[in-house]
Amino acid sequence: MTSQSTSKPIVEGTSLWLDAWKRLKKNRAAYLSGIVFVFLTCLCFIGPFVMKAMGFAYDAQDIAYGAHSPTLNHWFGTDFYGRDIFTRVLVGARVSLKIGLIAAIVSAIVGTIFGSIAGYAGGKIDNLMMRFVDILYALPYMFLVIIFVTITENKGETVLFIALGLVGWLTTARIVRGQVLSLKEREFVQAAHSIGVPAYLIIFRHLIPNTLGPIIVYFTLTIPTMILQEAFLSFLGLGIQPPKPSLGTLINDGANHMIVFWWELVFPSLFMAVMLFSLNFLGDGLRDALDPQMKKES
Amino acid sequence: MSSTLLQIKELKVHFPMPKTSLFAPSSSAVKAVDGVTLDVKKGETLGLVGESGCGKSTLGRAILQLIRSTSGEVVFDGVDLTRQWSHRFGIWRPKDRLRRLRQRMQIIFQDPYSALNPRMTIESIVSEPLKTFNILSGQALRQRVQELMEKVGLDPSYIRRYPHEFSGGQRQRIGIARAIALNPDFIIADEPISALDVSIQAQILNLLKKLQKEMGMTLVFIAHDLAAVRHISDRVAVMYLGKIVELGDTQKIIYDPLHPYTKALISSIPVPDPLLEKSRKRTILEGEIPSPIDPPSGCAFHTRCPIMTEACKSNVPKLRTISDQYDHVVSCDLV
Repeated sequence: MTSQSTSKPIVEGTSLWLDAWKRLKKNRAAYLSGIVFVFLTCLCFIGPFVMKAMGFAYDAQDIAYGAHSPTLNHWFGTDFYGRDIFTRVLVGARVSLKIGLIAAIVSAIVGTIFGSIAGYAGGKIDNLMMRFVDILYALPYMFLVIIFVTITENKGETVLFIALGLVGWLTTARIVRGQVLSLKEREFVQAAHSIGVPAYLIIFRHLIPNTLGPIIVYFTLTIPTMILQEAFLSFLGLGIQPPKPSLGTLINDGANHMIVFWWELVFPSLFMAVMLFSLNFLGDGLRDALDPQMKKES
Repeated sequence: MSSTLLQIKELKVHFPMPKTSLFAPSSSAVKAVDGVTLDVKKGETLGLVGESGCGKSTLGRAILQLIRSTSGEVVFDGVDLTRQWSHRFGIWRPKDRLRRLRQRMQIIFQDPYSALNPRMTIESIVSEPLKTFNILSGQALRQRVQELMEKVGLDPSYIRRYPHEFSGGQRQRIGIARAIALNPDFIIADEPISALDVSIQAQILNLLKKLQKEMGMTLVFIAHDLAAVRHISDRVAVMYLGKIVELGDTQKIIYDPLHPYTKALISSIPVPDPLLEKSRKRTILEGEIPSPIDPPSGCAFHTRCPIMTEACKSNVPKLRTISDQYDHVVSCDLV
């Protein structure tokens, strides 16, 4: 931004993103949720190492100690095998978050590309592509994932990413296509045509940046859905396998012993609820901040 | 007279209507442009006027190949643009030649609010044509953008700002800067001033006039009233329902219009003198513009024409040359 032909310094503009960020900061619930979410995420990714160093590995058993209610040593108590539940919740939440994030990212990317191509091409191609989406939509979602997980017989995290991401992109594709359909009639897209900008650049430079608002909102709201679905799959025994915990398996175990060892159910459930709440509030706040209707749109 | 830059021959743009039912016999079409023949000379300004919905914007876009035409030719500097397309996998793609020709023809849009990508800085908007054709890069590119900003009367230090930080008139200037970035020979201005305040309109008109003189561009100026067009155009074409009804030298059209539709348009320009305004006789058109899906038989204007005769309902008038000196042609059998 130096060495100008003119004497005046260049004025930095405020992008719509910056505007949205300012609005988000004003929204206390969303801002706070954002902080809580970031805090929990850091906790999940750093916490287990600290705990391990302190001698509380997530799979370290102490059968003699057994299930014990919360103490100063074990904040969330221990389970049947004497494993520290706090550590297990952190590790489980990390696994859930990873799956939720990656599945949401995969579905956002695939959905955006698919939807923008369909919307931009229009006509027969659009028809063909969106009917394909409709067909996938018509198939029972969970059923599809379960079949996929069963067929691959590999019950690791990767399969879960793929399985959840594979069906999660459908809604994103629809949202993006709808946006692109209306955007491509805008005059700035015609202007891009008239200066000979190739189609792929029109999509990536002009169309997708203008659909990013709804995509981001949908993305933040997809993460909790994905986490819930992962929990559901693990609950059914199709997801993460023990001894590795995930929030789903932890809650499942807890539910089995809840009459005797209440802490095994309550703490993982609370942790998950706080995480999902903060994500949902954040998503809502982002929608308010990015929604063009909220502001007198340019 | 100077040579011709653009020849339009029997150009038609029809938009097919969706069938109303599965068993409807054949789908109808909106005949937005229905057989326009027009020459644009090098260096001139041609005004294109007509009511809303008469197809003037569609004609402008069809000339630039932003809309594919149904039939007819658009010959730009000897190349028929309508043939510069290839069809593959159900998609029409422009051929390289058309892409290269796009450097020489540009458009300025009506609505400055939707003509600029809200997510891009002014710098990236104005430099996009230069980047697309790899003409400049780096520091030279920025300098050129600032030069262009100065040329259209904007502060060059604003290049990092975003469109929503500018007023309507300023945005229109940005649109103009983008259009002239490649030094085009030919610009279509599609109602560039109708979305602006009256005080800004004159500024933009003068800017266009100045740029045209400096750069020797050919300009097609589209507007829905004659008031703006008379100040900038050398010749004026009047459109009605997808067809040209009268074309000629601006002075000729303003002071000696022949077609009853042109007469009505002229009389709709207010005179800035209350006494004169009260006393003058005005032709006021009755009714609405007919639907371009099902245009009237014979002369399309006969449903609203004050001098209509029985013959007008069946005879389709042809463009007749009235005077060679003023390039005056009219499509009315009664004048």
